Amino acid sequence: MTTSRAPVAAMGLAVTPPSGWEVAIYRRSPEAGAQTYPVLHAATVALPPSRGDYGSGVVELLGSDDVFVALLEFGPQAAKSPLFSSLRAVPGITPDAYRPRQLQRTIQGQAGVQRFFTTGGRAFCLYSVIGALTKRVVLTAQANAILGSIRVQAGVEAGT
Amino acid sequence: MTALVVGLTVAVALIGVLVAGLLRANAEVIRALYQMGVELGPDTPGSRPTAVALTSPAAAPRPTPGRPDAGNVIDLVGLTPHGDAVSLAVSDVRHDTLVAFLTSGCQTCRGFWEAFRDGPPDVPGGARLVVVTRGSEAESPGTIAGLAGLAGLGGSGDGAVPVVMSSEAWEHYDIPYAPYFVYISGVAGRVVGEGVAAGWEEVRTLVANAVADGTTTPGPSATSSSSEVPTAVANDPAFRPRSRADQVRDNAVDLALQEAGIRPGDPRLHPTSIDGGGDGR
Repeated sequence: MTTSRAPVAAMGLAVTPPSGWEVAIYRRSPEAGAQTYPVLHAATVALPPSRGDYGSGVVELLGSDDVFVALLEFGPQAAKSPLFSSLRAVPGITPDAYRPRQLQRTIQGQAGVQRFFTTGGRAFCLYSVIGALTKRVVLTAQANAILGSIRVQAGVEAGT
Repeated sequence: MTALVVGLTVAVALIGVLVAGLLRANAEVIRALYQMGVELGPDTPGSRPTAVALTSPAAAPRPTPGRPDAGNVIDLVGLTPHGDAVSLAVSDVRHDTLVAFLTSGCQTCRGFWEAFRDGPPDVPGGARLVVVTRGSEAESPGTIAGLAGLAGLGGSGDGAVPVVMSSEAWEHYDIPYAPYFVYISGVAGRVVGEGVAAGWEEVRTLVANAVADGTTTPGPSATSSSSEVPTAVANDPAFRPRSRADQVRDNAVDLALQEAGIRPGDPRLHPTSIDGGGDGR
């Protein structure tokens, strides 16, 4: 028996990972004069300690049944830009949105998708990778399962 | 007056006996824990951390205590010493997890902290090693970061061994003292080994015993156990959990073989030559 899922929350972001998913919400230490914002990582593989914000270090581990999702927050000024303001909530993904050419780094068989949106006055980039384009229907449903559990708290001064 | 004095004398005597009994029981508990390699108290002045020799000869294996419901596992949800929120999956995953429950105060834990600082040591079966401490209400994140060698690193979870601060995990797994180790089969979704250890070699023995005991048998959701194969092999699609239809077929075959008296390891399962005694087709 596995008990109910526990939500993970930090920095105005909350997510309830489905069974078998790993989640991390973190913010990198800023360099002098720089500002950093929260990043949410979720994957069906074990998240390695060292990984890039767009999933380098993780996507290489994805098998054909695996999914990676990243949510990267941008500064408040981005929320007003046309790129981010066209979508007003955490978007769902359709299977046809995943494309091999949308990967940050092309990996054979994988496919990625990127979306920009604003919610609660906060601007985000959604980036997701599936382990096999041929299984995009099933894997998209998995990605949407965790995307649907993400909650963004409005008005949080998340930058550091 | 005399009765009062006698009464008080008797009461004092009874209290003395009670106190003596409590002190003796306490001493026995501390002695027993000490013999198990566990020190409950924080650092004492003049004491020095004891390094864990990863290659030292193994001490006598300790028995694996029972657990009422080995399948009652939860993911490791909490904060890293940097304040990042994490949820590390231990069930419905292809990898096994070895959870090291450590504190900042126990002397024996210091050796493990030092051993893990340079990277995860070799875990039998390729299991993932995760350190779990109590939450920030009981442990200092800064102290834990220093012990784990995370001080000065970024907040992305950089570091060799993941560290999760979670009193909830500590309580859910009913951890009696530190250091304490729990081995969870990711495919089976259950605790398959646990116990106390004073050195890494003992931990390896605990894990090896769990595998040898056959306690890595997967639950109903899967048929393969990643604890029996290295991670690299477990990632191979051939070793991934199979479909329900395949499981049903496998179970039927296993049952038929069992009824025929053929069990795992039976030489008849691995014939060196085909000797059907038939018609040569």
